[in-house]
Amino acid sequence: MAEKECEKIIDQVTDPRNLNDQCRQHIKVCSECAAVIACMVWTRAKGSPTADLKPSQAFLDRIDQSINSLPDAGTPGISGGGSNLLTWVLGVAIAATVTFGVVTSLNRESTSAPAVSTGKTLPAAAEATNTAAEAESRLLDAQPAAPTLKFPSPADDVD
Amino acid sequence: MQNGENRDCNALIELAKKGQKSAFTQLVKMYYGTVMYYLLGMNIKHADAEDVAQEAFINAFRKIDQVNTSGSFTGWLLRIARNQFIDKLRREKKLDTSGSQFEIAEIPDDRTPEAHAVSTAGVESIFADLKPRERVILELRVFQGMPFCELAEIMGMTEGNVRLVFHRLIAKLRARFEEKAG
Repeated sequence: MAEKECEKIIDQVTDPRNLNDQCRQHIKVCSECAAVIACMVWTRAKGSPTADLKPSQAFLDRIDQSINSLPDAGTPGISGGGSNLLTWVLGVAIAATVTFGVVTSLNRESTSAPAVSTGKTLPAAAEATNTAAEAESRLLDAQPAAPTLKFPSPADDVD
Repeated sequence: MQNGENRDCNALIELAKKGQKSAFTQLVKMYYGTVMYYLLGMNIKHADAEDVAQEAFINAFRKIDQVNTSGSFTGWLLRIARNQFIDKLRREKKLDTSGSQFEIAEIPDDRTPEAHAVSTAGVESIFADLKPRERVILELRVFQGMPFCELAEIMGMTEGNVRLVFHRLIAKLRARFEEKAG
């Protein structure tokens, strides 16, 4: 089998999940691949090449100290919890702004007292508006007619 | 990583997610070597690599909820380490690489007597002159069965390049194996 084929087999062999019957058959007849497989088994038996580097106690203590000063993993305040808190704060801020806007608008409507009610205002506000309109109408009725001003006509005699 | 070890790792991740800090400390012990060799492969000093590794582990604890046990924990952890290293580079503009030659004398030797006995019997010598990057590739590919595409992404290399490095590494190990086998 070509060298390229052997490379593919070796790639598969290094990940046992990919080892299929074709690989197994090839290994039986190819001495090169068989030697590499034996080497892999030997390497695995020796243990991880990164295992010789172990953390010092000081390193572990520093990690412990740091993670102990954090809230527990999975609680709000870290990872996903932070964004939940932000959403909550934004929600409250938007609700407060909308409420303030509605209240301000109602106050403005009640002081301006429109002649025709739109029917869309809140019941209390509508009542207040109607009362103000009626009072103004009654006041106008009670007042005497306004005096009529008379100006001299240009046809009048002028001395 | 072998299957049994993988199961242990997943169990520890689940415990860490529930807030068990001691489980996370176990994960630190298990992955310290991989993270350190990965960082040393970026040609930085041992002390700087340890600082970055520390920040990476703390960050990993903060984000432990995001780990999907069906994926590769090592890959996830090494990505955090790489981002931490890039952040550090940005903060400090550049790291001092004058001491890039990793000094074995600096490594604290707190191995168990058994591990020490095994290493003095020549077990470690087969990996002794491997470069940090080669060790990480060997660890991720042979011990954890990581696909070449993911390996390439983590190592910041092309897939073809990783395959080439890996095959050279195999040839090196094979020569050593045949030498030992006599």
